Amino acid sequence: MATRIIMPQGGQDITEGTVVSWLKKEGDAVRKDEVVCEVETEKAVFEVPAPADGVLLKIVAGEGERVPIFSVIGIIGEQGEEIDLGEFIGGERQDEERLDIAEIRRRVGKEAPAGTGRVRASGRAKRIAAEKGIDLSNVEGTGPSGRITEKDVLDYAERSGAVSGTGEPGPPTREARPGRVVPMSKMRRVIARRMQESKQIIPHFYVTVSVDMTDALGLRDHLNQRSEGKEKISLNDMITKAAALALDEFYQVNCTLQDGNIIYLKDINIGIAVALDEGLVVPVLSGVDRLSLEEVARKTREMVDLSKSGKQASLARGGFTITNMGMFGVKNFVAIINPPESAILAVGSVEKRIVVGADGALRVRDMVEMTLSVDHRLLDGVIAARFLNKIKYHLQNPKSLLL
Amino acid sequence: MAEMMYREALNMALREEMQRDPLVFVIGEGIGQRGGSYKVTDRLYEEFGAHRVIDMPISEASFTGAAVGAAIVGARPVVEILFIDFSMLAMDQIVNQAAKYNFMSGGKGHVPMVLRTQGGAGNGLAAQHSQSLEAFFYHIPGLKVVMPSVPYDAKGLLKSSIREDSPVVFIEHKLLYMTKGEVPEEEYLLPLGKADVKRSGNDITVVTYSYMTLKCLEAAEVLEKEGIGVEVVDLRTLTPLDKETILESVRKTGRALVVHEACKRGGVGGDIAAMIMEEAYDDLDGPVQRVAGKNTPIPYNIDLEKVCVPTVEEIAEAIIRMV
Amino acid sequence: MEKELNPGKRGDVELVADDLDEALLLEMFRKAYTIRRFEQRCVELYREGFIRGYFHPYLGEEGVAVGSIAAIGRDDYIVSTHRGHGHCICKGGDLKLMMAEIMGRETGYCNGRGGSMHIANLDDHNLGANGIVGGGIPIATGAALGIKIKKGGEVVLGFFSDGAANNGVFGESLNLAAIFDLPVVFVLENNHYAVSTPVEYSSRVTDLARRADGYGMPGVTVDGNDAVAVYLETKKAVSRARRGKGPTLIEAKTYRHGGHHVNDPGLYMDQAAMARWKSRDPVDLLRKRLNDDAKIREIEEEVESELAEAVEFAKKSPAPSVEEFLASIEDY
Repeated sequence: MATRIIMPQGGQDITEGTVVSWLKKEGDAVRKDEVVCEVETEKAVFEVPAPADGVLLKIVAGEGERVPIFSVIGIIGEQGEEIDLGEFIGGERQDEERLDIAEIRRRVGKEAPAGTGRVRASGRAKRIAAEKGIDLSNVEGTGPSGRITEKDVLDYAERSGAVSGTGEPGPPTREARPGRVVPMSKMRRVIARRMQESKQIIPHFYVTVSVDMTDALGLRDHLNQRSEGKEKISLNDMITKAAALALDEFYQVNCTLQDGNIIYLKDINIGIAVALDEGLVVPVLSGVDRLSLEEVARKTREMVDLSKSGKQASLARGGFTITNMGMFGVKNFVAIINPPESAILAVGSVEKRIVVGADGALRVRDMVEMTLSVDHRLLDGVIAARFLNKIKYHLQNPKSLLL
Repeated sequence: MAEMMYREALNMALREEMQRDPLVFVIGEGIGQRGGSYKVTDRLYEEFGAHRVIDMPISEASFTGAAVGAAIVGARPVVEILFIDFSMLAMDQIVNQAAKYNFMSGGKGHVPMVLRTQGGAGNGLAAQHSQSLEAFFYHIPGLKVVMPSVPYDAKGLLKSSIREDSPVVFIEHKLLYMTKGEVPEEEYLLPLGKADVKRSGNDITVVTYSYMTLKCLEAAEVLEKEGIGVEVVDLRTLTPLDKETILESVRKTGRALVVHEACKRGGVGGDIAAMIMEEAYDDLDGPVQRVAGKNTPIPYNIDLEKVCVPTVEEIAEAIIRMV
Repeated sequence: MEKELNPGKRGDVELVADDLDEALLLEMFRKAYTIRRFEQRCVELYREGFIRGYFHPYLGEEGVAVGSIAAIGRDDYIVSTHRGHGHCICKGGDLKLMMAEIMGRETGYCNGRGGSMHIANLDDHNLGANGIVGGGIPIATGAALGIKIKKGGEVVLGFFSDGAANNGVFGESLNLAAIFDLPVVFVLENNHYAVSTPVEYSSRVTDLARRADGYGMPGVTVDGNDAVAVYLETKKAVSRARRGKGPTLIEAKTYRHGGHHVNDPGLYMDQAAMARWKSRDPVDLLRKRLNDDAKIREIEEEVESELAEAVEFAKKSPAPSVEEFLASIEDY
């Protein structure tokens, strides 16, 4: 039965010691408590007694070697005993603090890095806005240096008919009339600034594919007939799910750019563009890869409803956005990337078209065109093409969306 | 530049000042031939003799009071009290005598003494040898309080403290003694009351001092990779407090976190947070936050001890919450 | 005036038969041997990392705790020092709970919160070790005052060292105990070093018991390595205290077998004096008083197995729960 000789603890603030000399050679017999070697720490020289009777089988730390306290410096056992060094030398004390930032982010509910944009608002204003579900970026500040005050939030709530205690949400009042000059709303200004920055800074390139949605539509109808009282699934939900599966495979696409670093995101969060009367918001669905098709459908509907009633629908930050104009009868369109994301997918309308099959036969199929806009600083053509074709694959083999 | 340990930098400061001024002398327990428990007075006895490196009986009240008297008549004593926990035995001499003498004498009398001591947890030394008690001294008008975090600061500030004409409480940390850093060969002094921005960043200001500076820098480094720019302001001296450096940083970042090892209740952090709120409210994006030690005596068990004082993880978490 | 012993020589103590039957001597030997082995084992466990921080071994000073605490009863109190394992063992300390505390386990005397330097065993009226030199002197004085207020019949043994004798609380407390005739016996363990400072350096009068005169109480110097001598002097002092005759200062001269704490090699110590004191080892002196080798061996074996059991118990004991600890300090 072999026993370890360890570097002794020789001080309350000492973490290492040096072997000064071995008084025994490998193979020498030793008695328990007999001094086998001397070690030196910052404080003093210590004699190390043998922890057991036997033979000094192995000197692990030679003279002059500096090792952490409690690590194995030698092994005592019986004559000829076979020892597995690995087993003996492992298991040292680790007092290192290791930081798991992702774990901390989960704990504090801030899964993605925060933006550097600052909203100046008083604590009261922030609290009231949160209670009323108001996005402060839409509120005009009248306080010192443009700080948003409680009054600003209350005024905005009154104007936009946001929920306040008892009132029902009403449609926001519109002042746009032909021949009138109206200052841009805060939301409009934010959209204008972000889109302008995106278009001016980001080198966009575009990739388009045609996708055969016939089977996907069939599966959708099948699912929706069978599900009494369940959430109805839309084509958009299927596209969202297909994009999540593709992002899972092509993690390189799921990234954002910040301060010269590419941040590859751990979670698959997808923004869904929602049109409002006065503009556009992009609520984000988080962890889409972990959601079933039905959950995607339900959460998307909840988010869209919240957004439409003027509330903050989600706090997560996306890595990818889908914008669908299928319901507005467009064949194809090209979208502007939502910074700091790497890409955005624009989906057109489903159209019946005659398609030439691989066998040369002509068939009528439900086709849709999709265009991916990509930030060329982050991604190149080939990966964009592969990624987009992966989305296409999932939609043309829609059973894969149910797994 | 030479790399040296914090305790060696302090030793150099004492040696240089004792060579420069024959009125500088050191007193404490076991500081002579033994060189002090933490080796700060190592080999001073051999150079300056028993006349200027004086071992004292275990009588903190009397030898601290003796230093006050010696300082009043023009000598420059540097007292070592081995643990800040033991300074409680000399509170009357520090608070009622040393701190008040200049004031009560209408500014005519001076007490040019330095009280060197060390505090902090981290070695399993339990409740009576691990406290962080700087708030006691910070609270008392008439005392200067110095708490350096790196060898360079320790040397420059100890020399300035010795030349200072009012009483200085110079607080070291037991986990700092063996840490290393660059120290110039040539003589230099650092002014009391001047903080040092140890790392710059745009997203949040972390105000800290002593050993926690190292922890905050560690957190800042990790968060840099996350795209969060953390500015670490090392106060170096608590009294005088360098408000300007703190406020300048907060005006830039809009967020402030104060970190210290001493327990939160009645800690220096509360005072600094209040000062920031008073002076820079309209530059703040949210309330000033504190990460501090728990309100408890320090337990002996090493795992319990760890959770009583701020960890790098706690600091990082507070920052992530705030930005 | 008490007869003063010449430290460093075997004190020819007149044995008082009814006080020193065989059973008492055997019990004293058992305690001394227990302390000796307990401390040696702690040093080993420290080197292996089972004990952290530091601790102050009582090796070489066993005679003082063994002799003085043998002279008091279960209900009497003691106030200990930073070198307190010996006092705790003599005052009924359970080796299991001590070892568990020193290893920082939940099952220890203080649930792992205190460690070596703060072990207290209130059930057996050991009011605790203390990390502040001299910190226990006012507490011992105060415990005696409390007993007086409660009209109790107990006495207090207040242990402290030559180092503490130069702290202000020494003079203040002795004066206070004397003017109120408090039932306290001050046991000054003069081990010749305050950390590393020799007593000859820090006191002009090295027989510290002489200081008692200035406060108006008897002072006596005794050979601290001879547990029996310590016992007999303490017995007298305790009897005086119980009869309302006030405090006594007993100075027990002894010597550490090493540095101030487990990590202090004690290079500053006088090696010739060390050899002299070691030749009169307190455990050996007790062994010599007993003429029963078989009984001695039996006791030694019992102690060894009790100690092995204590180490085993402590090693197997759980560490304190961090969550429970955090909950417990919520309103501290």
